[in-house]
Amino acid sequence: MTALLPFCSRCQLWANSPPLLTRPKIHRHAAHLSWAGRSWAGCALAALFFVALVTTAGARTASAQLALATAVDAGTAGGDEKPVASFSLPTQTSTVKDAIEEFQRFVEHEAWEQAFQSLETITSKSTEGFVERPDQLLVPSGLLVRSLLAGMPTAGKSAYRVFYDSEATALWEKATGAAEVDSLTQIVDNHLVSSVGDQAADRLGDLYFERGDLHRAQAAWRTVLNFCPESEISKAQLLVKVATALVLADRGGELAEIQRAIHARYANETVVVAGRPVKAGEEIDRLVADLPSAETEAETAAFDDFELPTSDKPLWQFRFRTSANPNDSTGAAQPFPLMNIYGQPRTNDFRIPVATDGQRVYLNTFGVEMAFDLATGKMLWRTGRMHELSFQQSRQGALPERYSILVEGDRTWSVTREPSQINQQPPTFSLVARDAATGKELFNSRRTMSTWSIVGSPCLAADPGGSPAPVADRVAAVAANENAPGDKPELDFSQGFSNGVESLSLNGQVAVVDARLRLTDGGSKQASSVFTKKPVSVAAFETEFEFQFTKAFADGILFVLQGDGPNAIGGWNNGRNGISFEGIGKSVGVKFDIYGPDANSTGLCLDGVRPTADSAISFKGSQIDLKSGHVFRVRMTYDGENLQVKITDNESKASHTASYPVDIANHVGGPQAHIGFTGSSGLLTAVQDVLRWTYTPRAPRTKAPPQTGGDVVYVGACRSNKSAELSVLEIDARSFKLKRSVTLGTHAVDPNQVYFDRVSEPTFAVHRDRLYVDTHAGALVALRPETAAIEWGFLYESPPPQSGYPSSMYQPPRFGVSGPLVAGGLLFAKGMRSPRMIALDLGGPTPGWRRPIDVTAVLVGADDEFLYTGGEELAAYDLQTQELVWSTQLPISAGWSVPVLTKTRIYQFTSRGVYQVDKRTGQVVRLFRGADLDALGGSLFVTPTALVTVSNVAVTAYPLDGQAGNHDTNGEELSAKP
Amino acid sequence: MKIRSTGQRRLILATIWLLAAAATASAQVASGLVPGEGITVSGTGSAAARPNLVEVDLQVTGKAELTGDALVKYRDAKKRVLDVLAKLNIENLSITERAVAISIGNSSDQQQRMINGIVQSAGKPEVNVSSTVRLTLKNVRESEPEELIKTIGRLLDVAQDAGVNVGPTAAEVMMALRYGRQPENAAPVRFVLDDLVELREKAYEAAAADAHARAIRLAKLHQTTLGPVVSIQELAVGGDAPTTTVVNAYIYQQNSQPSSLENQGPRIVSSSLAEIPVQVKLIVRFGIVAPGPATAQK
Repeated sequence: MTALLPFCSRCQLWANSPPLLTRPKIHRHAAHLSWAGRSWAGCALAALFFVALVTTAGARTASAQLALATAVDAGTAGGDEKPVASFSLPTQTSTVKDAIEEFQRFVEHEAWEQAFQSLETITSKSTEGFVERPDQLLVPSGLLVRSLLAGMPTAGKSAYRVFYDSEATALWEKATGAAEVDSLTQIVDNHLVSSVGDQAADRLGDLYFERGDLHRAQAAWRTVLNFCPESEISKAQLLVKVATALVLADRGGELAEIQRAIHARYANETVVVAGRPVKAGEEIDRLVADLPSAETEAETAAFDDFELPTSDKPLWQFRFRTSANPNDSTGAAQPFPLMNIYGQPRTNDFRIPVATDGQRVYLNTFGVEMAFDLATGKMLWRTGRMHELSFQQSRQGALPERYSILVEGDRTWSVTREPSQINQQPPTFSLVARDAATGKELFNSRRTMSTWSIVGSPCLAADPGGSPAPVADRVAAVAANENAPGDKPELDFSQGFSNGVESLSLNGQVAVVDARLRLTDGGSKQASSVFTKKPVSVAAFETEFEFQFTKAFADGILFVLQGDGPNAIGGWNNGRNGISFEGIGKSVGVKFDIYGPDANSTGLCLDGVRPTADSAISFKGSQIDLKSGHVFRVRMTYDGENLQVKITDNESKASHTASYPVDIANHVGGPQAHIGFTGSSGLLTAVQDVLRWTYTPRAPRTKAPPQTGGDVVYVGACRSNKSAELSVLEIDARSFKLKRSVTLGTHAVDPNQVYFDRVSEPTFAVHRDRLYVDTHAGALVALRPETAAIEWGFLYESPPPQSGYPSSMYQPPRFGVSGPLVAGGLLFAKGMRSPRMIALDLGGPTPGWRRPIDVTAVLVGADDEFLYTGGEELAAYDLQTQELVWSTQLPISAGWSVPVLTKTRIYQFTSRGVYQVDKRTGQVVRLFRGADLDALGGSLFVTPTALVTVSNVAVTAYPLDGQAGNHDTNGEELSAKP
Repeated sequence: MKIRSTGQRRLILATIWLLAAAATASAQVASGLVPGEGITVSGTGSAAARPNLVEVDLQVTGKAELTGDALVKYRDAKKRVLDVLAKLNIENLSITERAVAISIGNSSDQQQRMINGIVQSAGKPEVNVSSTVRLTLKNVRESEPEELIKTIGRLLDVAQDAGVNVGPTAAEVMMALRYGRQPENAAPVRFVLDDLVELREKAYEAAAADAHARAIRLAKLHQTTLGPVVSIQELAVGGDAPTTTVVNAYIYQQNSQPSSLENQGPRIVSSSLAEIPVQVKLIVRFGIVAPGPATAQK
């Protein structure tokens, strides 16, 4: 019986009114009355918000909202209690909360004057602080007031205008000149439902747009769409304006929602664009069609699969420690014997912080940072001695989780503490920037921001609105970007030139003779060139060709990439031996020269100019003689930065290799060029043939993940005298100046009192124009980077870290740390100790998922259908139904090991090797053991030529079988091996 | 006759007992034995053979807060391990699934928090769906030890590659230590002798002979004459293992597999590959013959 009575949580009483007939408004604490645990007042609030949300043109449909609401209930598996977070966001005073309750009560009574007086109480208080919505979303009280007003019935809005129109109109009239923006802002903030509120918001958007502040412009227009459903301003026009601003702000990925909204309601409505009338549907389609292909949603990007190495033999390996026992001659690798402050082991969840830029691997091992050349394994620099490293990691309370590193452009960013700080209590960590090439320290927050101690990994972003990824994701991104080889040559003359020559432009005396390209046929004063008719990608490539010089006296040939056109041809002489290259302005060439003081040499030729004789690279000493009449095979590889050229005498097997750092795209005028050969005979003669030729474009070596901006660094921090308070610092990545700090809230347990457990460290995600911060202590927060304003917060279940000494322990604390993830329009988060995965629909925002999940789970990625999680097991969840689709338990002893996702595969480095798992089914496709089986697993990434694993024992690189696919020694394609 | 009181009942029982004792004594006297006297000895015999089976127990589990999730995890874990084992194509390998169990309990995290008086997380109790996949290699007695170990190694490797825990985890061992109980599946690889009939016969014979020899020795030392066997008791018989089941409602019953459910015949299990002795231990009581020419010991 009592279950049907409303219950007041403040009075702890059942309302003594007839069940089902009781109106909560007669109870003093109306807001606390609930039916079966749900707040009555909350329901009213929810209804108000629902009204606001369904009028949002760009938001989902009402049915979608309802579906989401249903999903929330379903996801709680029987109805969860209010989440117990271990982090609190600043909330409004009880005065404000009471005023909101009173407002709702007066609105129900249609007592408009008292209702508006209640609102004045709210607006007169600080606008900072949050008010909890019934869906547990915390929003600033100012935004709530706007929603409350927008949710009033028509009579209420009319009454509001009676009371406040004069004030709003006065501001409207004042809104000219220098005061225009301020006046309009006041109207929008305080009087949006007045008769001029919608016009003020629209005009404010126009002003911001004219000023180039596109983010604020679209936000102002969206205000009309979201909060002024009765406005007579054309919704179609507003939506087109928003879309235009988003395109100009490089946020084209957000157009899909607007496109759907326009086509659903306003497709044939006429809007004015640049002074001309057009149909709204046509305009939005045009905007979407004109988007560059790169402007797709980041979450839908998928990287190419790669085949695991075929040999366990590493290319190179660096072991952090070998046996300390002098009698042990095996040199066995020793893992880091990590302990907590009580000397208890805690190795099972440790991952060495690692980053890569495609050229080097950077590690931060307990404050000793080091860099390795990716190709050779050579240690390039380190910031401390190895014995310091041994000392750091072997002492109790090493705090391995607090170190991190990432690389952006020419800098590394690490969160670290120096070996000299090891005994400092409470532990203080700093943000350090270094020159990636030398390791030289450029910035250390300990010196310039000494009041802050850094917590968590940094996050780099454009300023604002970039799309950075946290460290772990960046590793995956590099892995995938760098391994996107084309399988087939774009040009294939491997059998000679008897077929397919029509794709080439033959210029000068060149001819096809016996399936050979004959550039000069023995006559003098000949100049020839052969180029592809269509430009091909030269961002990175492999090419191989064979040539032969007979009866050769002059001049030689060049392999050329050029942007002048398919018919480009240089002179045969130009006063010297021009090799038909000189004069092709936008060009890069590699010469094989047989005449003059630099005869029998090679060298890089740029912009139509050959190197001087002094700078040419002679073949003298390499037993290569271009005039020998032998057939020479040349193999060139270009990774976007370095051009490697290897020439081999097919007869004597003598070879010569040269490497040239060159930005080809810069010289040829873009990422595509016409490619081919030039040759000349000058005043002498030679028969110069190209026998065979293949050319395969490749994915360029990634300097840095392309989605990163790198203008600002976001990092979590706490003040030395307020260690429980968590802030986000925004630091200029170039000047290293602290731009601003934003206090997010307060931890329930002071991190300085956490000795046994892990400290909660924030992780970041930047999506569109928002910075999302997961505190990993029970709060997810959305920030506007351009204003540093907290837009909303959401609390989720998260027990506090264990503080004090545990009297009984049989396993280390279990947790999984990963950053927030955007997929399918939802923002997913999973706190490190939380047994719940949550998701919010960013269109609202409104809660979407709250689903039980293993506490060790980490968010890995998503595609159109599934959300993938790692941790102690890999798993896939259906994005639509929230159901667990498959689960794969792997021997993942490194709990922080982050899998790499590609188009159809998941790769995970475990204590038993690297697993390749099918994304659709979870089936293990292949297991690569490797040469690091002493380890607990860890990170992995891929370069064009190598797979690199980083464990708690070693950094190991394995050769991939070249870039022409994964072949065994017989040249046959390897199938997936069980 | 109707018995009217407890006292009457006691009287009747005492009378019956006295009559029986008198009858036994008179029988002994009749056979020449000294009434109430005898020699009690133990006899031990054994016969050994190499194991004929190897068993590997793999625990397949699916744990989650939602039962649906636990079932999916269990389903996939089992499928994965069965698939890889099937691909091994080992002729004498048989795979059986035993005792699927569904249990509900606190997660190990929650237990630890509870024990340490720490605030509980919001997570609800976990559902644990589990079973034991038993791999049996049959007819291994004649196999070369090295080959057999290699085969077992392959089984363990593929099982671990498939994500199955072989033996208890470190956390499980610590947990068992904390509660003073045996960790689950502490010996996942077992060498089994279950063709015991002949070996037992030999062991019984040896035990009986041993007992007889001991008795003769004692009789001779005490200058008495050994009589016939009066009673025999089996003290231990190789292959008859006691069954125990530990149930502690407070503890998360991870992979609880009461051995009494297995209903196996006589078998001897060893954790090492060596000859396994089948031992029989008997307690035998011989009578003592009263002195006299008719009963002199031969």
